[in-house]
Amino acid sequence: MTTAPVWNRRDFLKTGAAGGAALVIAFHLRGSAYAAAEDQEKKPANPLNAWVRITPDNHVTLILGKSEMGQGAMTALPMILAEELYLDWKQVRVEQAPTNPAIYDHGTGGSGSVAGSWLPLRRAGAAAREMFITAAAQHWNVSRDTCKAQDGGVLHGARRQFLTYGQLVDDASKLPVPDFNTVPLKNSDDFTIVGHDRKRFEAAAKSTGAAKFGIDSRMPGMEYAVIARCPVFGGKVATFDGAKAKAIPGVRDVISIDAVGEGAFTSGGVVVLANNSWAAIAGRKALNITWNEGSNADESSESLRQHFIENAAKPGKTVRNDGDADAALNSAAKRAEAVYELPFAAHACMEPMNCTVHIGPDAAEAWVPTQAPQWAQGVIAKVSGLPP
Amino acid sequence: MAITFILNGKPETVNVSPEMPLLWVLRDTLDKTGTKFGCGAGLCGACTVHINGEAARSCQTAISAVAGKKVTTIEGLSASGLHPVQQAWIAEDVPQCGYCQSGQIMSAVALLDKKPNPTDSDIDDFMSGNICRCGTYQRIRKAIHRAAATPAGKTKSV
Repeated sequence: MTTAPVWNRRDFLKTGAAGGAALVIAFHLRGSAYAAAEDQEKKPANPLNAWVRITPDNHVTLILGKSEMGQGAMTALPMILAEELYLDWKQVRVEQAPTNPAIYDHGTGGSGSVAGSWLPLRRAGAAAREMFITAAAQHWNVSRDTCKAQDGGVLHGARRQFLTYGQLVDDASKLPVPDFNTVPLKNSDDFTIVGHDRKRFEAAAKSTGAAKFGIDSRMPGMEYAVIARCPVFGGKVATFDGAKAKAIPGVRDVISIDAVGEGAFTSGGVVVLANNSWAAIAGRKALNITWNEGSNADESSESLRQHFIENAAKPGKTVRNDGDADAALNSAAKRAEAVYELPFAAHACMEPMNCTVHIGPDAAEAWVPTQAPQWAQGVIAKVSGLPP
Repeated sequence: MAITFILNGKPETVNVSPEMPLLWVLRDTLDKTGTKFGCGAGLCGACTVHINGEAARSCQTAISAVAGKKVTTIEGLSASGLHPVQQAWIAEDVPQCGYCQSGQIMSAVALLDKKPNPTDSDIDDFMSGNICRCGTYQRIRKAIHRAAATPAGKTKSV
């Protein structure tokens, strides 16, 4: 399989917004750097999940279907784009894309954001840059060869003239988009942003308490729920007594919910509903629950480890096959063998798992700190009966 | 039960259960969400605020215990603009996911109030109750040293 994205004309489009106010280039970023070939074939026909928007006020905004979890994706990805576009870093903005499964594939994981976005972003930046150079050359009625991109605009060497991308947006948006497969990319020796430190966009918001995390979502009149879940995967509530919980001031109700779908992501449990977080937490502590632990009741760290060892001994699934590894190993002068083990562990992020949902008659809105908003969307659709 | 305390320099009166932790009064009643809920057990430091100038875990402090006292949160660290410790945090690009950083900054300000020129080991000792899952400890240390090097970094919070 190929490890670089394959481009065709269907993969990107160009639109001049009403009145030519913006140049928008859309393209597809791969969620995981080494996704298997068959997964790629399951992608929707028009998977546009990142957009470059260049506006006459000379701001360049990358709208990304990625989640910022502290890994720096929302700064690193704009850096790649800015490099090929020859931007002044001060022009660069980034926005998180809305959750629209028809357009954006929001998955963020597998350490794939930078690796998977590297070529697509470079090609998109380079394509836009070439369009601006062409637009400037036409504007000045000079040869393209005498123009070059620099500091967020195009410079005409001989005449010392300069036009910002903002000034060129209208003309550039009317030009054909260059072929992403052949558009010239910058030589890495000339990089001024990639490989150089840039501050994270969100450092100030995260140093002042202003940054809004999922758990900070607030709706007028919202209620707070804490869910007691079975400590065993797949376990279910057998019986529960919520009387003590209901006696706590602020607690409104205690109910049990069923699992939705499969796995730990959507396990059921006993819900304490209250008008503030503290009452919900105190109510959850006051619950008396008997669990039906199910078929995984005997599962333990040791049984999981044994399971991993047994699975590791079986032939693996081929994701990539370069050269002849077996032959190389058999003919090697020296062979080293080692066993590495990692426990089955949760990410242990500091923000507790949480989600805020507002379900209306026709639509549901949700604020979820997650790597996979579309999974959440699917579960909410299933529970609410609304279309996904 | 009505309880009055000074929040970020202004009097606030809340009518809540006296045992409700300060953390939830701040977050749910007063909509001050800069102070974070991490473990709810006083183990992670994400909920750190100042009570009468001392660093305290707001998840372990009943609201009744702060009646009449001065509470400072990340939102009220500086009367205008950014506290020098926040400036140092931004200059050193400390936060990653950022969830622990309000608590880290509140602890750092309390440390500099006590020890204007802390050594690495002073920092490690004082900050040991503030956990960072991203592992930003090296930059936290650098930012505290940077703040200590600016005269204004030693000024007391409100």
